[in-house]
Amino acid sequence: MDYREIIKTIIPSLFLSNCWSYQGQQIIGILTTLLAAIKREEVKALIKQKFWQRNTFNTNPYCSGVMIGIVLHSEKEILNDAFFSLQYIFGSIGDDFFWRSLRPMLLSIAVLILLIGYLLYGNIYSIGFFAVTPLIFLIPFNIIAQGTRIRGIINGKKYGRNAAVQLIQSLRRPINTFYNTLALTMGLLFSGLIVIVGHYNIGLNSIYVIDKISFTLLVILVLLISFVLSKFERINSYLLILSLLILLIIKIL
Amino acid sequence: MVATVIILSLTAATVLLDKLAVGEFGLSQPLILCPLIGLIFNNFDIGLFLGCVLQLIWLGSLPLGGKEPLDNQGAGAVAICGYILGQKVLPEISHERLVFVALLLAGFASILGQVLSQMTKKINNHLVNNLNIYSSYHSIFFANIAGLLIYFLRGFVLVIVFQLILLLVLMTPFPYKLPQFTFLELIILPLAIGIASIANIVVIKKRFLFTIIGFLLGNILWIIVK
Repeated sequence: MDYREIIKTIIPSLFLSNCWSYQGQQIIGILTTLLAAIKREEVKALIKQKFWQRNTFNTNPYCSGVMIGIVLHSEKEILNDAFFSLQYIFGSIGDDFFWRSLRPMLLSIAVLILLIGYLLYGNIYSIGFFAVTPLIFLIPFNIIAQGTRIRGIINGKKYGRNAAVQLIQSLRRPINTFYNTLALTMGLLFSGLIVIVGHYNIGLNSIYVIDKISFTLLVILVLLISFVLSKFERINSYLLILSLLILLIIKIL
Repeated sequence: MVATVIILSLTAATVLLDKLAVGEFGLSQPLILCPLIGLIFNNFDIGLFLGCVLQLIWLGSLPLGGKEPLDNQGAGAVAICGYILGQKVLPEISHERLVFVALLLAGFASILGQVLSQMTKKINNHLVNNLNIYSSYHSIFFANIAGLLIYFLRGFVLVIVFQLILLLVLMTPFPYKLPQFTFLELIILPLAIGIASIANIVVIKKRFLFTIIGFLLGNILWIIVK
């Protein structure tokens, strides 16, 4: 697979979820990518036939690369039930790896480091080196996520189904470490929250204990409600609006 | 002012394409999007602050399978665009008051963004219905491009609606009547919601030991720094 072929496959694969619909999900995206990469007309016709027969396709976008690569490897021979079931396997493991563990972990680490910067400098306008913290998320996430997509296309084309097995194994391994790191970061963030609330109470220009207690109680209440009612889908949005309004009332009073 | 609203909405809608349509590089996450748009419009520091405040709130709301999560990316875009617009319209209002208004708008934007995303996916159903086994590559390709445009419009509508609402709010005495907040106050409550969001993931995966270690480590480090 020369670099022109790789680029010709990678670029359409970046637009996989453009036309995500409840009915066909990513079917238009995957067909656009595959039809752009395949040259033989009879294979193109077969791909259209097989995909429209199922009428739907959905997988994790970063793992889609390996599925595209597998089709390029064996073209028409591969489009069977085993191939189509790969979308569910990669949907499940890819979502667990990228959405539920890697992304929250990197984002919470970046936020934690930024908070440390704010606490150390005590000023949001000049936090020096800490201003580059968004890159702590952006660079590693893209190396892993886009790397999985690109490597998937190349390895899928080269090794066929073996590349899928290899990818599943390599995605499974670090998930536990990511969750452990996320839990550790949560502990650090929680201690950071206590420090910030402490800072707020010390800086509060009031002789009344009730002023200090009321805000601390509000924080505890928000934390508990958000945690306990997490099953309700929009609770965090409502809670953000409500807590800001309560803060406004506290300030006015 | 109209030009500012349109330029801000176009910029935000372009970055918001990253959420689902183009590559999913993570550029639309509030922690990246807010400082990025802030940098373009000369408000990097406030953008970074808004990104930091908004990032963790909807961390537990995930796009698993076909589920449509709350729109944290849209919320971030509305917040930073709202702040920039507010600063242009009422430069005499303090940064903290504008950040408060921006955060309030972000809360509503996350819900409207989710509804608009669901609508987009329903509109896309029509594009899929128009295609079949005999459709040419070009028909499929143009359907994909149409999906991209529809998604761009979704982001544009979301941001412009909230900018217009903000303009109406800024015409009232409401911003002048707001008390003076501190940045410290504005970060605490969203941070508490964000920590609860992560706590839910940690509880599901039963990783309490690491949380306790992190908590103790955080306190020890703070004592050393102090």
